[in-house]
Amino acid sequence: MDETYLVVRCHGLSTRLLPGNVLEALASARAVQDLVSILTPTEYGRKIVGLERLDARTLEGAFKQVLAERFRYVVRLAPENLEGFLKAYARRLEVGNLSRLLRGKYSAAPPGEIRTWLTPLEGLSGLDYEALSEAESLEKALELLEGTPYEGLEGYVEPCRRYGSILPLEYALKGLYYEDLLRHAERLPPESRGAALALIGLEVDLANVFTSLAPLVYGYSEDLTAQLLIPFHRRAPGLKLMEAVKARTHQAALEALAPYSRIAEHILAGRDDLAEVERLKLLRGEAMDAMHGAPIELPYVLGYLSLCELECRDLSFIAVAVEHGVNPKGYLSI
Amino acid sequence: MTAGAGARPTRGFLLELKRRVGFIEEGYRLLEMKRDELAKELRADLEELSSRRMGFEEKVEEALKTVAAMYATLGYREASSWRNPEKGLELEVLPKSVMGIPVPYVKVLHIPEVKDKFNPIVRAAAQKVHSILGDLISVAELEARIERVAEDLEKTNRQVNALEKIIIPGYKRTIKYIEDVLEEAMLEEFTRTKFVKALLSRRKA
Repeated sequence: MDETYLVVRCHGLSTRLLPGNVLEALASARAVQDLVSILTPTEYGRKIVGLERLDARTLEGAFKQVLAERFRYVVRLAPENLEGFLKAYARRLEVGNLSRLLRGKYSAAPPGEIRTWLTPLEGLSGLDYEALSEAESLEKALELLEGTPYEGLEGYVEPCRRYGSILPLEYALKGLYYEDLLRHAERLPPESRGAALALIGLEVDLANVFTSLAPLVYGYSEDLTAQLLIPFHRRAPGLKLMEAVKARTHQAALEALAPYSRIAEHILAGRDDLAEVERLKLLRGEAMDAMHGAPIELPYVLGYLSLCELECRDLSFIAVAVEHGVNPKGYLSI
Repeated sequence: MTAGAGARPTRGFLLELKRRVGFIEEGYRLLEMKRDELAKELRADLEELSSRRMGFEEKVEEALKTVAAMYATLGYREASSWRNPEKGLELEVLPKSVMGIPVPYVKVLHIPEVKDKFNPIVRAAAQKVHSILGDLISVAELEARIERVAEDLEKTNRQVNALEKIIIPGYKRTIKYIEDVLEEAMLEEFTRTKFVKALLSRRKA
């Protein structure tokens, strides 16, 4: 299979993404049952029909399964020259699972409970989640990661213990993910590389913006925060991020994070929820630009995968919001 | 209580009853004082509760909204996996006496720190909940105290009413009955004595 076939399939698959008006209709639902009625005729219907109980928690599981299936399908169709990169890209789902699992190990949560936080990733992940969740301690779980792309994380256990926080390990895991992804991105055809790096760079920038404001807004230690910054950027270079980490005033932080000042303003105003929405909108915009800018190349595929993730997030948000009586309008990525 | 039911119309019993009524009336006065004090205490506690709740309910609502938004933003799986590895909230509930009523007194042993612990979305929710935790505990403590005092006030009120409306009047009716019976007996005795005296003097004459 070649790249064109993959891109053409993604054009077809993108028609299955839920249009904005359907998401808006879902956001107006009054009960979880209404969501089920709207989603049953869609791609999510197959997963929802089989559910024993219908609530936001089980629906979220169904959405995650559809997301994993979509990723699996794209990876399966990948031509040889893109397979490594797309597999590395799809590992974000595995990293998500692993982060939750390690959090559980760090806080000594029962293995049975940890397993309920994981998304089944057959074909996308080779990790033995059963053994990892049963591991006696965080250190033992990390030992089980020997020989996987996540080996070498043991060194972050000490900072975790020192700061009483799992964040150093978690961000190191993210760092490993992006490092590996960027290594694969270097091998991409030049015509696709730029757009792929732009999309990845934006993701990293946005994660770093949230992290860099933690000392000013929430009093996080500066040295811990500096360790959590992912060493890659698009428009927010390390020096600027460190300026934000050391900033003593809101103005100084805003100046350091000028390319993302809107998000920074929300965070500084204590509205992380609105900042998150802004982040999602930027990612959606970037994904759409990538799809429109390179409709017959890899960026289209990455844009499609990014939209799949955003759709999964929006649907999960709607389901939980409807269950808790929160109005989801204004919190979606559309 | 039916007046005279089970009452022995004797002077000894009357004296015993009067002593008992005196004792009960003393208890009634004490209970009445306790009731007034409890009512005063309750009023003060309710005023304090309403002043503490002013603005606090909005804070709780805001915190709950943030937590719900956090769950919605991250999803249940992600949100549930964020836990503070530190030991959790530790409280000791000790009994404290307010006019003999045991009310709970909450001693905070440990409030977990949320700084440096969570990712951006979770930290906002954790911070909001953390900031209201102290107020939440003190309001809960005050509410429990009000509940206990109100329960005791209700009980005391019932006792005061029972003494005032049933027991004391009942005893008083019994006393009145015995006094009437004794007076009647005394009159009877007096008449009989007079009659006998008159009879004897007639015979002498």
